[in-house]
Amino acid sequence: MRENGKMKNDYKVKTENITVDYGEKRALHGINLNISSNEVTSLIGPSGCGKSTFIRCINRMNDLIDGCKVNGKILIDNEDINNQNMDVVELRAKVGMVFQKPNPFPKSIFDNVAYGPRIHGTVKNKEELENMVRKSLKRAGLWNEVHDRLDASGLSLSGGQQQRLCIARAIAVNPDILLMDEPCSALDPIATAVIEELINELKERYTIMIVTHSMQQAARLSQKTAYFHLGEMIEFGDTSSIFTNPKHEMTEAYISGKIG
Amino acid sequence: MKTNNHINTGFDEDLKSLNNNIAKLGGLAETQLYETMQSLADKNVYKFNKIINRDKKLDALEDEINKKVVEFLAIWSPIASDLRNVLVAHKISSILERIGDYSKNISRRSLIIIEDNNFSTLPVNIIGLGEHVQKLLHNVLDAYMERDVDLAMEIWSQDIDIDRLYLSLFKELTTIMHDNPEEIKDLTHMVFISKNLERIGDHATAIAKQIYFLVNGSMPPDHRPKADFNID
Ligand SMILES: Nc1ncnc2c1ncn2[C@@H]1O[C@H](COP(=O)(O)OP(=O)(O)OP(=O)(O)O)[C@@H](O)[C@H]1O
Ligand SMILES: [Mg+2]
Repeated sequence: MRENGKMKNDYKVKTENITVDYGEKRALHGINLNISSNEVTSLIGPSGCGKSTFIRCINRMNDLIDGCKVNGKILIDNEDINNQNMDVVELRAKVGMVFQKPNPFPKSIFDNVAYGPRIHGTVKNKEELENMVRKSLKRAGLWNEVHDRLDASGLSLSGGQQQRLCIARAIAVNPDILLMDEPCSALDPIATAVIEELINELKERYTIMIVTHSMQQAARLSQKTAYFHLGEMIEFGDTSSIFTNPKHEMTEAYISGKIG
Repeated sequence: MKTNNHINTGFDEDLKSLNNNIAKLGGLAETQLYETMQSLADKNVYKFNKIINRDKKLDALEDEINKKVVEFLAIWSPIASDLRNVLVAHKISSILERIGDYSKNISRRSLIIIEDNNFSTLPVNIIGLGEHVQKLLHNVLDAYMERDVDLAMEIWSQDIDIDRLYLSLFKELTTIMHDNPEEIKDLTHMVFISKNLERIGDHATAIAKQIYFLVNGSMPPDHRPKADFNID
């Protein structure tokens, strides 16, 4: 749970001069972006501009990529996540991630959700674990569809259900931050609407960063929007002003589908 | 206008056709006002019925624009300046249709006055006010087509001249009424004609405001001079 009485301008995530290199190739050129608590921030921009690279910095997923080098400062709750004392497993529990393609484990629905709490030891006994699984599935809006078949394989679900299962799995460890990389790109409009509704509810508890290629989705869901282009952050601000009156011509051209 | 094209060429085509319809409606609104005031000045009764009938064309064109706007929004979900383009087109078309209504109303009243043919003289200022308003409408449509904010703001600040002209005309007409009570019916029509011209001027400045919004994404700061309206 989050502490109460936080100051309004207290950023959940602060990034200073982030650069990322894949071998010789620089993918991010000094990004400075601060993310507020309990808001949805969307990252938009053309393919290859570095959106996924950026959000992977926040839970140090780039560590897993060979030849990938991250520089700069990333603070979560004012704590440097690249600090030697940082426990990466704990960090990934605190910063959950949902990917473009739903990737449930080839295990039962129950075990998919129970996986995190078991690993991180966030529950004391079987009863607490069952409660946690139920609560997470409910919060992800999947409970009603699966409560009578928790033993079925996660892979037996439809794409939209699998994505909600992955969201349930991510929130089962009570993260503070949820990173979502194009979570709806493989879903139909109904499943997308369900997930969007869910994200809207989740932002009451979590700080959410979402990468999306749907301008309408970014406009509907997020309070803040960052526009990336070729590894630089071109514009960042309130979503309402970015989509009605962007300050930068490149942003305008991109969101309106113009030839830049 | 912005030179950047959309990757979807259909987008630009639809937007262009919407703008062409606005241009057409603007042209019709100008013609209606011009012919009305010309016929009144010449005391020529023959054109009024034609003008009154032609108003249906403006209504139909406005309907067509409304339909196109709805289609455009549904198909393209425009954002940022594209969205403002469509919203402003929608708003301006309804303003132009209203301007058409005022011209029609002036035509009706002019027809009555001229057919009565017993009024002494047409106050020169009514024609002057008409010319002023025509110029305003013409310029504001130019400003819209060219997305010229400076011109739009100039027009916006000129509304006070119209208000002053209307005010002095109102006083003149009531004075004539006082001295010629037998002409009170025609003079009342003239008061309404002046009021309608003043309203058209007001609508032209509303278009100017829309142009500002279209280009800047915000409404102009409202510190425009206003005439002191003491109608007593
Ligand atoms: N594992 C990798 N190895 C080498 N280069 C990579 C790797 N991942 C990304 N890149 C490069 O880094 C740049 C940014 O890629 P990234 O995946 O962050 O873009 P993106 O904005 O998420 O694009 P998309 O919208 O297509 O998902 C690209 O030029 C890409 O080729
Ligand atoms: Mg990506």
